[in-house]
Amino acid sequence: MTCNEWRAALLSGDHPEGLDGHLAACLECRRLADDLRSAADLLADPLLWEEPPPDLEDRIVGAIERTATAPETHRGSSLRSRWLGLVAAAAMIVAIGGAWLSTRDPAPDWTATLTGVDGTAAAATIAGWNTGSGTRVVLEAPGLDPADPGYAYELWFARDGDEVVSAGTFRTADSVELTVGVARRDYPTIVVTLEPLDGDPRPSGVAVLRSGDA
Amino acid sequence: MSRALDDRALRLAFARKDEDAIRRLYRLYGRPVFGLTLRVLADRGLADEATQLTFVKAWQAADRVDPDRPIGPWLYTIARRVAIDLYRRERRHANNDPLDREIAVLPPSIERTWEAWQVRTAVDELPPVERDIVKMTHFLGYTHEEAAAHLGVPVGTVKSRSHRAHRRLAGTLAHLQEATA
Repeated sequence: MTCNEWRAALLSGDHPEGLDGHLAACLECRRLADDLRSAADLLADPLLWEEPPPDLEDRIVGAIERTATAPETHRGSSLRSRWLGLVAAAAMIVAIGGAWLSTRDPAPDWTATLTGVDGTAAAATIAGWNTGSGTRVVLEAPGLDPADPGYAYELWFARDGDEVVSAGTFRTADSVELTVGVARRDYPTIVVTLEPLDGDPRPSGVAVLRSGDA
Repeated sequence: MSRALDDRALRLAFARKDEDAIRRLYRLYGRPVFGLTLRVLADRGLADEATQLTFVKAWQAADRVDPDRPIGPWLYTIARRVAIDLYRRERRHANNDPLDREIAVLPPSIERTWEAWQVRTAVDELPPVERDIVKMTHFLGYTHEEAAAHLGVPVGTVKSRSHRAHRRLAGTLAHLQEATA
Protein backbone atom coordinates (compact mmCIF):
# COMPACT_ATOMS: atom_id res chain seq x y z
CA MET A 1 0.00 0.00 0.00
CA THR A 2 1.39 3.41 -0.99
CA CYS A 3 1.15 6.49 1.19
CA ASN A 4 -1.45 8.05 -1.08
CA GLU A 5 -3.57 4.88 -1.07
CA TRP A 6 -3.41 4.78 2.70
CA ARG A 7 -4.33 8.44 2.99
CA ALA A 8 -7.20 8.06 0.52
CA ALA A 9 -8.52 5.08 2.49
CA LEU A 10 -8.39 7.06 5.71
CA LEU A 11 -10.28 9.94 4.10
CA SER A 12 -12.92 7.71 2.55
CA GLY A 13 -13.50 5.71 5.73
CA ASP A 14 -12.53 2.43 4.04
CA HIS A 15 -10.49 -0.08 5.97
CA PRO A 16 -8.67 -2.19 3.40
CA GLU A 17 -6.17 -4.84 4.35
CA GLY A 18 -2.82 -3.36 5.22
CA LEU A 19 -4.17 -0.08 6.62
CA ASP A 20 -2.81 -0.60 10.11
CA GLY A 21 0.45 -2.10 8.89
CA HIS A 22 1.21 0.94 6.76
CA LEU A 23 0.52 3.30 9.64
CA ALA A 24 2.93 1.41 11.86
CA ALA A 25 5.66 1.61 9.25
CA CYS A 26 5.24 5.15 7.88
CA LEU A 27 6.22 8.12 10.00
CA GLU A 28 4.95 10.69 7.48
CA CYS A 29 1.48 9.14 7.34
CA ARG A 30 1.37 8.95 11.12
CA ARG A 31 2.12 12.67 11.17
CA LEU A 32 -0.73 13.40 8.73
CA ALA A 33 -3.24 10.94 10.21
CA ASP A 34 -4.98 13.33 12.60
CA ASP A 35 -5.29 16.04 9.96
CA LEU A 36 -6.78 13.59 7.49
CA ARG A 37 -9.25 12.24 10.03
CA SER A 38 -10.24 15.82 10.79
CA ALA A 39 -10.61 16.49 7.05
CA ALA A 40 -12.86 13.42 6.77
CA ASP A 41 -15.04 14.85 9.55
CA LEU A 42 -15.28 18.13 7.67
CA LEU A 43 -16.40 16.33 4.51
CA ALA A 44 -19.49 15.26 6.45
CA ASP A 45 -20.12 18.79 7.78
CA PRO A 46 -23.13 20.44 6.08
CA LEU A 47 -21.40 23.84 6.30
CA LEU A 48 -18.64 22.62 4.01
CA TRP A 49 -21.15 22.08 1.22
CA GLU A 50 -22.99 25.40 1.49
CA GLU A 51 -23.17 27.25 -1.80
CA PRO A 52 -23.17 31.05 -2.14
CA PRO A 53 -26.17 32.70 -3.82
CA PRO A 54 -25.94 32.34 -7.60
CA ASP A 55 -26.03 36.10 -8.20
CA LEU A 56 -23.25 36.90 -5.73
CA GLU A 57 -20.51 36.94 -8.38
CA ASP A 58 -22.35 39.61 -10.40
CA ARG A 59 -23.07 41.67 -7.30
CA ILE A 60 -19.39 41.58 -6.31
CA VAL A 61 -18.30 42.66 -9.77
CA GLY A 62 -20.89 45.45 -9.64
CA ALA A 63 -19.65 46.59 -6.23
CA ILE A 64 -16.07 46.64 -7.47
CA GLU A 65 -17.02 48.63 -10.54
CA ARG A 66 -18.72 51.16 -8.31
CA THR A 67 -15.73 51.42 -5.97
CA ALA A 68 -13.41 51.70 -8.96
CA THR A 69 -15.34 54.70 -10.20
CA ALA A 70 -16.11 56.39 -6.91
CA PRO A 71 -12.56 57.14 -5.75
CA GLU A 72 -11.73 58.87 -9.04
CA THR A 73 -14.72 61.13 -8.69
CA HIS A 74 -13.96 61.75 -5.06
CA ARG A 75 -10.29 62.36 -5.73
CA GLY A 76 -11.10 64.77 -8.51
CA SER A 77 -13.45 66.86 -6.43
CA SER A 78 -11.16 66.61 -3.45
CA LEU A 79 -8.18 67.86 -5.38
CA ARG A 80 -10.16 70.66 -6.93
CA SER A 81 -11.50 71.81 -3.62
CA ARG A 82 -8.11 71.37 -1.98
CA TRP A 83 -6.73 73.77 -4.56
CA LEU A 84 -9.48 76.25 -3.82
CA GLY A 85 -8.78 75.76 -0.16
CA LEU A 86 -5.12 76.50 -0.70
CA VAL A 87 -5.94 79.70 -2.45
CA ALA A 88 -8.56 80.83 0.01
CA ALA A 89 -7.31 79.65 3.33
CA ALA A 90 -3.70 78.54 3.29
CA ALA A 91 -3.16 79.36 6.93
CA MET A 92 -5.99 77.10 7.97
CA ILE A 93 -4.55 74.22 5.99
CA VAL A 94 -1.29 74.54 7.86
CA ALA A 95 -3.21 74.54 11.10
CA ILE A 96 -5.19 71.37 10.64
CA GLY A 97 -3.49 69.36 7.97
CA GLY A 98 -5.75 70.04 5.08
CA ALA A 99 -7.52 66.92 3.89
CA TRP A 100 -10.86 67.44 5.51
CA LEU A 101 -10.83 71.19 5.06
CA SER A 102 -11.74 71.02 1.42
CA THR A 103 -14.13 68.08 1.37
CA ARG A 104 -17.83 67.99 2.00
CA ASP A 105 -17.13 67.75 5.75
CA PRO A 106 -17.64 70.61 8.16
CA ALA A 107 -14.66 71.71 10.23
CA PRO A 108 -13.54 68.96 12.58
CA ASP A 109 -14.31 69.11 16.27
CA TRP A 110 -10.67 68.43 17.07
CA THR A 111 -7.37 67.72 15.38
CA ALA A 112 -4.15 66.15 16.60
CA THR A 113 -0.69 65.23 15.44
CA LEU A 114 0.64 61.71 15.84
CA THR A 115 4.38 61.20 15.99
CA GLY A 116 6.43 58.13 15.14
CA VAL A 117 7.22 55.64 17.89
CA ASP A 118 10.38 53.56 18.20
CA GLY A 119 12.08 54.80 15.08
CA THR A 120 9.01 55.10 12.84
CA ALA A 121 9.91 57.97 10.58
CA ALA A 122 6.35 58.91 9.62
CA ALA A 123 4.07 61.34 11.33
CA ALA A 124 0.35 61.79 10.92
CA THR A 125 -2.47 64.22 11.35
CA ILE A 126 -5.88 63.20 12.52
CA ALA A 127 -9.16 65.09 12.58
CA GLY A 128 -12.23 64.05 14.53
CA TRP A 129 -15.93 64.76 14.36
CA ASN A 130 -18.08 63.99 17.37
CA THR A 131 -21.19 62.08 16.35
CA GLY A 132 -24.22 60.92 18.26
CA SER A 133 -22.80 57.42 18.55
CA GLY A 134 -19.10 58.17 18.96
CA THR A 135 -16.44 59.71 16.76
CA ARG A 136 -15.58 59.76 13.08
CA VAL A 137 -11.92 60.37 12.29
CA VAL A 138 -9.82 60.97 9.20
CA LEU A 139 -6.20 59.94 9.56
CA GLU A 140 -3.56 61.12 7.12
CA ALA A 141 -0.13 59.53 7.28
CA PRO A 142 1.25 59.65 3.76
CA GLY A 143 4.77 58.81 4.96
CA LEU A 144 3.70 55.56 6.59
CA ASP A 145 4.78 52.56 4.52
CA PRO A 146 1.93 50.24 3.44
CA ALA A 147 1.54 47.35 5.86
CA ASP A 148 3.29 44.21 4.67
CA PRO A 149 1.17 41.27 3.45
CA GLY A 150 -0.25 39.53 6.48
CA TYR A 151 -0.29 42.72 8.55
CA ALA A 152 -2.52 45.76 8.94
CA TYR A 153 -2.41 48.95 10.92
CA GLU A 154 -5.03 49.46 13.59
CA LEU A 155 -6.08 52.74 15.19
CA TRP A 156 -7.00 52.74 18.88
CA PHE A 157 -8.55 55.22 21.28
CA ALA A 158 -6.85 54.65 24.62
CA ARG A 159 -6.97 55.78 28.22
CA ASP A 160 -5.34 54.86 31.48
CA GLY A 161 -2.46 53.21 29.71
CA ASP A 162 -4.02 49.97 28.58
CA GLU A 163 -7.76 50.46 28.12
CA VAL A 164 -8.33 50.63 24.38
CA VAL A 165 -11.12 50.69 21.82
CA SER A 166 -10.42 49.92 18.19
CA ALA A 167 -11.49 52.32 15.47
CA GLY A 168 -10.62 49.82 12.73
CA THR A 169 -7.81 48.58 10.54
CA PHE A 170 -6.16 49.82 7.36
CA ARG A 171 -3.26 48.95 5.10
CA THR A 172 -2.31 52.36 3.75
CA ALA A 173 -2.89 55.70 5.36
CA ASP A 174 -2.68 58.43 2.74
CA SER A 175 -6.17 59.27 3.93
CA VAL A 176 -8.28 56.79 5.84
CA GLU A 177 -11.66 57.35 7.45
CA LEU A 178 -12.69 55.34 10.50
CA THR A 179 -15.41 55.41 13.13
CA VAL A 180 -15.33 54.46 16.77
CA GLY A 181 -18.05 54.22 19.39
CA VAL A 182 -16.36 56.42 22.01
CA ALA A 183 -15.49 60.09 22.42
CA ARG A 184 -11.96 61.43 22.55
CA ARG A 185 -12.67 63.31 25.77
CA ASP A 186 -13.08 59.87 27.38
CA TYR A 187 -10.20 58.23 25.49
CA PRO A 188 -7.67 61.03 25.08
CA THR A 189 -4.76 59.10 23.57
CA ILE A 190 -4.69 57.87 19.99
CA VAL A 191 -2.34 55.07 19.01
CA VAL A 192 -1.69 53.28 15.72
CA THR A 193 -0.30 49.77 16.02
CA LEU A 194 0.94 47.23 13.50
CA GLU A 195 -1.14 44.07 13.77
CA PRO A 196 -0.56 40.60 12.35
CA LEU A 197 -3.70 39.35 10.57
CA ASP A 198 -4.00 36.43 12.95
CA GLY A 199 -7.57 36.97 14.08
CA ASP A 200 -6.52 38.11 17.53
CA PRO A 201 -8.42 41.36 18.15
CA ARG A 202 -6.19 42.49 21.02
CA PRO A 203 -3.47 45.10 20.39
CA SER A 204 -0.15 43.61 19.39
CA GLY A 205 1.75 46.16 21.43
CA VAL A 206 3.76 47.27 18.39
CA ALA A 207 2.92 50.98 18.33
CA VAL A 208 4.04 52.98 15.30
CA LEU A 209 2.27 56.32 15.88
CA ARG A 210 1.02 57.98 19.03
CA SER A 211 -0.68 61.26 19.93
CA GLY A 212 -0.28 63.28 23.06
CA ASP A 213 -3.28 63.33 25.38
CA ALA A 214 -6.18 65.60 24.47
CA MET B 1 -5.67 23.61 -15.67
CA SER B 2 -4.63 22.92 -12.09
CA ARG B 3 -5.34 25.38 -9.30
CA ALA B 4 -1.60 25.99 -8.98
CA LEU B 5 -1.33 27.08 -12.60
CA ASP B 6 -4.58 28.99 -12.34
CA ASP B 7 -3.27 30.65 -9.23
CA ARG B 8 -0.06 31.79 -10.90
CA ALA B 9 -1.80 33.18 -13.95
CA LEU B 10 -4.42 34.73 -11.74
CA ARG B 11 -1.89 36.51 -9.53
CA LEU B 12 -0.43 38.24 -12.55
CA ALA B 13 -3.83 39.15 -13.98
CA PHE B 14 -5.10 40.26 -10.60
CA ALA B 15 -2.10 42.48 -9.92
CA ARG B 16 -2.67 44.09 -13.32
CA LYS B 17 -6.36 44.46 -12.41
CA ASP B 18 -7.41 42.73 -15.61
CA GLU B 19 -11.16 43.00 -16.07
CA ASP B 20 -11.93 39.32 -15.76
CA ALA B 21 -9.49 38.65 -12.91
CA ILE B 22 -12.04 39.27 -10.17
CA ARG B 23 -14.45 36.80 -11.77
CA ARG B 24 -11.68 34.21 -12.06
CA LEU B 25 -10.73 34.79 -8.44
CA TYR B 26 -14.34 34.45 -7.36
CA ARG B 27 -14.83 31.23 -9.32
CA LEU B 28 -11.77 29.72 -7.68
CA TYR B 29 -12.33 30.98 -4.16
CA GLY B 30 -15.92 32.24 -3.86
CA ARG B 31 -17.11 29.02 -2.24
CA PRO B 32 -14.30 28.83 0.34
CA VAL B 33 -14.78 32.52 1.20
CA PHE B 34 -18.53 32.12 1.57
CA GLY B 35 -18.06 28.93 3.58
CA LEU B 36 -15.55 30.57 5.91
CA THR B 37 -17.69 33.61 6.55
CA LEU B 38 -20.81 31.49 7.05
CA ARG B 39 -18.92 29.30 9.51
CA VAL B 40 -17.89 32.39 11.51
CA LEU B 41 -21.11 34.41 11.24
CA ALA B 42 -23.71 31.60 11.14
CA ASP B 43 -25.99 33.72 8.96
CA ARG B 44 -26.26 33.55 5.17
CA GLY B 45 -27.09 37.26 4.85
CA LEU B 46 -24.04 38.28 6.85
CA ALA B 47 -21.90 35.74 4.99
CA ASP B 48 -23.11 37.28 1.73
CA GLU B 49 -22.09 40.75 2.97
CA ALA B 50 -18.74 39.46 4.24
CA THR B 51 -17.99 37.69 0.96
CA GLN B 52 -18.68 40.87 -1.00
CA LEU B 53 -16.48 42.89 1.35
CA THR B 54 -13.69 40.34 1.10
CA PHE B 55 -13.49 40.51 -2.67
CA VAL B 56 -13.81 44.29 -2.74
CA LYS B 57 -10.97 44.61 -0.21
CA ALA B 58 -8.90 42.11 -2.17
CA TRP B 59 -9.42 44.07 -5.36
CA GLN B 60 -8.49 47.33 -3.66
CA ALA B 61 -5.29 45.68 -2.42
CA ALA B 62 -4.53 43.88 -5.69
CA ASP B 63 -1.37 45.85 -6.35
CA ARG B 64 0.04 44.50 -3.10
CA VAL B 65 -0.41 40.81 -4.00
CA ASP B 66 2.89 39.04 -3.51
CA PRO B 67 3.65 37.54 -6.93
CA ASP B 68 5.74 34.77 -5.42
CA ARG B 69 3.13 33.39 -3.04
CA PRO B 70 -0.19 31.60 -3.55
CA ILE B 71 -3.16 33.90 -3.60
CA GLY B 72 -5.44 31.60 -1.58
CA PRO B 73 -3.87 32.12 1.88
CA TRP B 74 -3.75 35.87 1.24
CA LEU B 75 -7.45 35.91 0.41
CA TYR B 76 -8.13 33.70 3.44
CA THR B 77 -6.57 36.26 5.80
CA ILE B 78 -8.72 39.01 4.31
CA ALA B 79 -11.90 36.93 4.57
CA ARG B 80 -11.15 35.90 8.13
CA ARG B 81 -10.54 39.46 9.23
CA VAL B 82 -13.69 40.70 7.51
CA ALA B 83 -15.73 37.95 9.16
CA ILE B 84 -14.31 38.75 12.60
CA ASP B 85 -15.02 42.46 12.12
CA LEU B 86 -18.63 41.75 11.13
CA TYR B 87 -18.99 39.31 14.02
CA ARG B 88 -17.85 42.00 16.46
CA ARG B 89 -20.09 44.58 14.83
CA GLU B 90 -23.10 42.31 15.20
CA ARG B 91 -22.19 41.61 18.82
CA ARG B 92 -21.99 45.30 19.56
CA HIS B 93 -25.41 45.86 18.04
CA ALA B 94 -26.91 42.85 19.76
CA ASN B 95 -25.51 43.88 23.13
CA ASN B 96 -26.21 47.58 22.53
CA ASP B 97 -22.63 48.19 23.60
CA PRO B 98 -20.98 50.86 21.46
CA LEU B 99 -17.93 50.79 23.69
CA ASP B 100 -17.08 47.29 22.48
CA ARG B 101 -15.96 46.20 25.90
CA GLU B 102 -15.60 42.64 24.72
CA ILE B 103 -12.90 43.55 22.29
CA ALA B 104 -11.05 40.27 22.81
CA VAL B 105 -14.02 38.06 21.99
CA LEU B 106 -13.48 35.85 18.98
CA PRO B 107 -16.20 33.91 17.18
CA PRO B 108 -16.51 30.44 18.70
CA SER B 109 -16.26 28.82 15.29
CA ILE B 110 -13.00 30.49 14.26
CA GLU B 111 -10.73 27.57 15.11
CA ARG B 112 -11.23 25.30 12.12
CA THR B 113 -11.67 27.91 9.41
CA TRP B 114 -8.28 27.35 7.78
CA GLU B 115 -8.75 23.60 7.79
CA ALA B 116 -12.25 23.93 6.33
CA TRP B 117 -10.89 26.35 3.72
CA GLN B 118 -8.30 23.79 2.64
CA VAL B 119 -10.82 20.96 2.44
CA ARG B 120 -13.29 23.06 0.49
CA THR B 121 -10.69 24.19 -2.02
CA ALA B 122 -9.52 20.59 -2.43
CA VAL B 123 -13.11 19.45 -3.04
CA ASP B 124 -13.63 22.24 -5.58
CA GLU B 125 -10.60 21.03 -7.53
CA LEU B 126 -12.22 17.64 -8.14
CA PRO B 127 -13.91 16.94 -11.46
CA PRO B 128 -17.68 17.40 -11.00
CA VAL B 129 -18.52 13.69 -11.28
CA GLU B 130 -16.05 12.89 -8.52
CA ARG B 131 -17.17 15.81 -6.36
CA ASP B 132 -20.76 14.54 -6.59
CA ILE B 133 -19.69 11.12 -5.31
CA VAL B 134 -17.79 12.64 -2.38
CA LYS B 135 -20.79 14.77 -1.47
CA MET B 136 -23.18 11.84 -1.70
CA THR B 137 -21.09 9.49 0.39
CA HIS B 138 -19.82 11.90 3.03
CA PHE B 139 -22.52 14.56 3.37
CA LEU B 140 -25.66 12.73 2.27
CA GLY B 141 -24.53 9.41 3.73
CA TYR B 142 -25.24 7.34 0.62
CA THR B 143 -23.73 3.91 0.21
CA HIS B 144 -22.02 3.17 -3.09
CA GLU B 145 -25.10 1.23 -4.14
CA GLU B 146 -27.43 4.12 -3.30
CA ALA B 147 -25.20 6.58 -5.13
CA ALA B 148 -25.14 4.28 -8.15
CA ALA B 149 -28.94 4.04 -8.14
CA HIS B 150 -29.27 7.80 -7.75
CA LEU B 151 -26.89 8.50 -10.62
CA GLY B 152 -28.03 5.62 -12.81
CA VAL B 153 -24.53 4.21 -13.22
CA PRO B 154 -23.02 0.84 -12.25
CA VAL B 155 -21.76 0.42 -8.69
CA GLY B 156 -18.29 -0.23 -10.07
CA THR B 157 -18.29 3.20 -11.68
CA VAL B 158 -19.19 4.83 -8.37
CA LYS B 159 -16.44 2.89 -6.59
CA SER B 160 -13.80 3.82 -9.13
CA ARG B 161 -14.86 7.49 -9.09
CA SER B 162 -14.83 7.47 -5.30
CA HIS B 163 -11.38 5.87 -5.27
CA ARG B 164 -9.99 8.45 -7.70
CA ALA B 165 -11.64 11.31 -5.83
CA HIS B 166 -10.20 10.29 -2.48
CA ARG B 167 -6.75 9.76 -3.96
CA ARG B 168 -6.89 13.28 -5.41
CA LEU B 169 -8.14 14.73 -2.12
CA ALA B 170 -5.47 12.90 -0.16
CA GLY B 171 -2.78 14.18 -2.50
CA THR B 172 -4.00 17.77 -2.35
CA LEU B 173 -4.54 17.85 1.41
CA ALA B 174 -1.25 16.12 2.20
CA HIS B 175 0.54 18.59 -0.04
CA LEU B 176 -1.14 21.51 1.72
CA GLN B 177 -0.29 20.11 5.14
CA GLU B 178 3.32 19.60 4.13
CA ALA B 179 3.48 23.10 2.68
CA THR B 180 2.21 24.67 5.90
CA ALA B 181 4.03 22.33 8.32
